[in-house]
Amino acid sequence: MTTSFDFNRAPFNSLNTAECDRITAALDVAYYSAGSVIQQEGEVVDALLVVMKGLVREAGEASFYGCFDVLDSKSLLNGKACCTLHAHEDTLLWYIRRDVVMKVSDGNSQFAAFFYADVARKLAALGRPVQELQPRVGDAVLHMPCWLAESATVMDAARLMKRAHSRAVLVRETSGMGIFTQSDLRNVVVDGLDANCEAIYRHLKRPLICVKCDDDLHHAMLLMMRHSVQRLIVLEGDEVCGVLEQVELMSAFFNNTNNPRGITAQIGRANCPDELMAAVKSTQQLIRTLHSNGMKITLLAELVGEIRQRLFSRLFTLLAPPEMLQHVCLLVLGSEGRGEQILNTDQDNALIIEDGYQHPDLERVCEQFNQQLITFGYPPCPGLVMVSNPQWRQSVTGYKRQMNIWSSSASSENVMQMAIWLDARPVCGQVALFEGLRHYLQQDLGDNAAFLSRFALPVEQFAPPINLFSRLIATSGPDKHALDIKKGGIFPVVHGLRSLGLEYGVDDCNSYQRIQRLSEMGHLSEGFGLDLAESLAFLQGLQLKAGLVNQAMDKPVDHLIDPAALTTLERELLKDTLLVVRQFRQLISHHFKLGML
Amino acid sequence: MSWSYWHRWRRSRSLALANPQFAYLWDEPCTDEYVSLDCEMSCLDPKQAEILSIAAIRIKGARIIVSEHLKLLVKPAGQIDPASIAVHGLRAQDVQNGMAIETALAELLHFIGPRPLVGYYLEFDLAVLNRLLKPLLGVALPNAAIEVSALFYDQMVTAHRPDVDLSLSHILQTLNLPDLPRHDPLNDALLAAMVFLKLRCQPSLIP
Repeated sequence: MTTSFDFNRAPFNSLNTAECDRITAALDVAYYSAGSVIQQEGEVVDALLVVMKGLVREAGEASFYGCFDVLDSKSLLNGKACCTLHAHEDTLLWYIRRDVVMKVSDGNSQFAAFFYADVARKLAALGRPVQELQPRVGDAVLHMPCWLAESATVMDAARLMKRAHSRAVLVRETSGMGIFTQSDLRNVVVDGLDANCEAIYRHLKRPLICVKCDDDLHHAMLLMMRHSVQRLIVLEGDEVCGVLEQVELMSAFFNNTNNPRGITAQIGRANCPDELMAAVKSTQQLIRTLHSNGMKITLLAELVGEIRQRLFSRLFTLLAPPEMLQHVCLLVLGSEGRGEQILNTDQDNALIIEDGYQHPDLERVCEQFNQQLITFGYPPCPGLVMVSNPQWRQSVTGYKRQMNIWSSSASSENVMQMAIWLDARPVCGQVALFEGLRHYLQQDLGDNAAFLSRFALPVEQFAPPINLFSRLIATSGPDKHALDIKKGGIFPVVHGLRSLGLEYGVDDCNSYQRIQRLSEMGHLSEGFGLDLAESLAFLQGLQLKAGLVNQAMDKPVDHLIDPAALTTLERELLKDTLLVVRQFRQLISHHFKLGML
Repeated sequence: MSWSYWHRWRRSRSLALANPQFAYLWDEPCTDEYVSLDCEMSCLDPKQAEILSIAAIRIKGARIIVSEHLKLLVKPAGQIDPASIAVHGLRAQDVQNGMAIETALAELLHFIGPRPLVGYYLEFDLAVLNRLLKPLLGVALPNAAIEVSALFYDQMVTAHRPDVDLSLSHILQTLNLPDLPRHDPLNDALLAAMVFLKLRCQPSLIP
């Protein structure tokens, strides 16, 4: 039969031709005039209902369903209507016989997942399509090229190798480039030559064997075998951007990704802040590769958080005089502290100074720390939550005073500052300084109901961008076609969890750990906790995806999502997750009696 | 006339039936069940036209049971008017494997039973059907017939607007119903059923 049923919409776009034909053969049509009842809660459900034309209202809820929305899909599994539906306008519905839908979903798990009631199971079943990416040369850990002048001696080369932890140095000559490696050095020694006066250009190997940054890694391996060399010079355009060693090539193969251990080693080897840049770049590559390989967002965030913590720690250690570390503690705050920041958005950091400790260089070190992070691509914090700001560089007593101010009057500014602090994670220095302050803050806040309510209030600040009609609201961005998933989706969840965590003395500052702890303590139901965690992960995944797109176009990372740019499935899941966010917001509002404020 | 009189009259008609196996056509129809009907014909003259295809869909309450529709292809005895081929798209070779008209009519009668019939310009279809049913049934179809364009006319006509556009596309547009590719008998039957369901809210118009 010729129908106008649109199989391009979710969940029907997951069906193959044969399945589409089966559904087509089971299509009925029903008409309901405005105001009439389509189904009563508890009634036997014998069909899946899809709106052909008109508007349907769910009784007792402010949910409306329009053209091509699937009605009450959850009731299909148990065969009993979960809600009462009215025709709000004159409405035409497609009826798809239940037995046929069930049969089709038996053979198609992606289609079946649509009918699961809980978002967590739905997301798990739908999964992320894992793309098999061919590893590229640029995905492997590359060594910074070490350059020597043509006039250098073999001894100069040996010294540079030692200093730079490098196994090869490069020399640019008028006739081209040459390489001098550890084995060449060994030969010089074996030949009994005087390294101090032996000119290096006599021992260079040329021409260099080069690969391009975006060449296949397999190609690089072939080159190494063909020329019996252990390293290749990596070119980006015509410029040398690194050296690929055999060891890294092999490890890149075995991980099929950039190697996180390689990056941490790279961070550990850095002798000056500029050398950390390579690690920052590798981290970005690592994120792209792991993301496109379908790594779960929470794992990715954890991994990247770990690497970045080492980076901050190393950077601060390089800048600060060694004795200073005994008396201060460097913190990362906000999303970085929660371990939920994947792309560099902006910096949030603070320093705790032991009471009475002073150092003439302290201010300079802090300035340099923030400056260097800016060069690494962390924009400065618009709210100036940075160690260069004296407010976030205080003594223990200073912070205690600050905390008293925060908790005595819960102005919105105080609340946000305390919220930032609550997500703090110590990165280097004396962790005991931080532990003491955390304990101090926790002491008198856990049972201060009035304060807790004020603290939780910002949850109400931004409504999820989904309207009463279960439609997405896109009113953000320059052209008003986007929605801000940070404000409307991620923030209410993160802040709600922070508030509950504060009340119940949860030490963890990662949102997923907070969910888990709160579930264990019985303050969140297990099922809802799972839904919440999966929803948050989905939203952060969308945020990352959009961020990577912006990054690829050299645009600043914002949190705007254009619903039109999403796949149908993503759009449906976004609706589902925003409904979970709305539910959580109501839970928080009720729990902290925000309506009474 | 009273219901019992009507009933007796129907009974007496069924006794006069040439072929008693179709007596069920005179049964009392189930409430709230209808059949939407559409036929494609070989030409536009009801005295000559042969049926090429028939589609029928049952309506139960608010639901149009499209999934259990009846769709029959009939092999005509004579020629198909070339002008009509352009409309319905059925060529001689398309209906070559169609069934004999007697078999098709028996299946159709079985499908519709005593239910009232619904259609758009049903009159023409019924004229041809009754002509062909005469030898089989002895009488014309006893089923009530509901013309959706008439329902539409009754609802739309006013003193200020005596002329009502009864084209199907105008009806669909006015009633805010979706359009489907036309001149496929199944789609036409479905469209008529949708028009019927939408206009049925005027109970006085329904027999």
